[in-house]
Amino acid sequence: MMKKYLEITKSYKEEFTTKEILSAIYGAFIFTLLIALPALAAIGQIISVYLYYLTFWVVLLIIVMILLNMLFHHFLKKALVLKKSEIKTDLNTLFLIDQIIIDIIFVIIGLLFIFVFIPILMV
Amino acid sequence: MNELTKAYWPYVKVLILPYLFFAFVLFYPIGYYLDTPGGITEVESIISVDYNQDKDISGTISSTYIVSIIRPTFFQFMIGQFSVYNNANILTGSYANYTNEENAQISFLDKETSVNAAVILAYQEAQKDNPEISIDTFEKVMVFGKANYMSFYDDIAFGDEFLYAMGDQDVIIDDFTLISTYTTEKDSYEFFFKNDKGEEYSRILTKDPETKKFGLTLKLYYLVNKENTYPNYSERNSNIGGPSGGLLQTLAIYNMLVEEDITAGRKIAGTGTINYDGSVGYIGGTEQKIITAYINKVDVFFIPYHDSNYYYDNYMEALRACEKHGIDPTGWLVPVRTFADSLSYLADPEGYWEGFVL
Repeated sequence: MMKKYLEITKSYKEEFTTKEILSAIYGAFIFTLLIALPALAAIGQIISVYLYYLTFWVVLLIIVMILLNMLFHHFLKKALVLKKSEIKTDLNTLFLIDQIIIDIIFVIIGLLFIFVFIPILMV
Repeated sequence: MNELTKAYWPYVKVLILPYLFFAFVLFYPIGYYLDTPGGITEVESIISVDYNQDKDISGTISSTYIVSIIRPTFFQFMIGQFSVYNNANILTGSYANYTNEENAQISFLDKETSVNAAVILAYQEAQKDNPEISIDTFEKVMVFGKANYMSFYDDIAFGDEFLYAMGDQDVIIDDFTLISTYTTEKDSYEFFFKNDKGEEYSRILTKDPETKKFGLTLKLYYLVNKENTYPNYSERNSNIGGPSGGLLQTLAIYNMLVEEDITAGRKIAGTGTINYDGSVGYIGGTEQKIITAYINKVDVFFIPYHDSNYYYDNYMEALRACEKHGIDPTGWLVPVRTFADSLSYLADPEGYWEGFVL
């Protein structure tokens, strides 16, 4: 699995220049941010009003972060496809593995909040 | 970036107005307040006393907090309407005059002085059976309120100590209750304060032409002199403000000082400010606190009670809240007038109700 991932990454770097990758990441980030900012602000305000369901909201927040991560990778793929119509690299597999790694980090941060930070902060 | 912008530009054009409207709804504050249920906090997690460290406390004593949003955004206000547990109303009184930051400062000043009152009362009560315990206090007059018309409004902060004022014929007024007596001849007088950094400063305050007042509210507090107090206690920083945890703080500190465990395995919570004479004062947000206690399944919930004929008496409000939400108050909702009442209940719950008259 790891070997396959490294091979796809190598192909990805060969097919796209650093400038093209950075430009695509920048575009995907800005577009994701446009959706994430009001979504996260709204969730923050829902949490402030219904604080007694805090654990539930943290779980929901983890799910929203996973969805935003999916959205970011969707925009990233779209930007790269728009730059080059014929792409040989298996972007789907590459981005799926990237997403899983990032999602695991989100889940770990969320669980840390539920079991460590919230009990410390809510005094 | 450019490719994405070109591809999504038709959608961006259509969505820009709804987007800006949503942003307005999310960030524009309105002149209301919104009270919602919060949670309970074990007093032990905030205050600890270096005494009876080996004592096994089988139950818990917790103060109750609610979430009070002053000037919520449109969005918060709207989503707040989806639950019958929440209460929204127009902002009035001092809350309306102060900014959110000032309200937070007042709330934390209230909390800090409430903890001092709780320590004083708990130590004095425990001292009756154990002379080893000692408490020393000192008086401090602090800025508690500011009217909009007060001179140098931004220079004088909530919680700053009032030292003295120069009155008529240069009389030094160090008793704040005599300020109006000795400031009759002129419109402006010099007041001396000390800020939280320990720096002394003075400002010349001018009376408002209409009210003939300086617009400054001062309040006398008794604070603990930690150097001459035994045993030592420490207090952790807390995100929760306000004085309504006073009674439960007093109970928890008292339990840390005495030999017996007054919790007897019970999950004790409640609300009510504590006064230096041991009386319990009224609080706000009763309905939300009752719901919070119910959600958290507490065994005992103390609530201030003084007058059954007074509509806003906290116990009467609590009974109405229980009826409204279909909660049975029997056995856990306990009205108290004083700190001594709460101790009496914990010592003999059945006996307490026998002597209770509504």
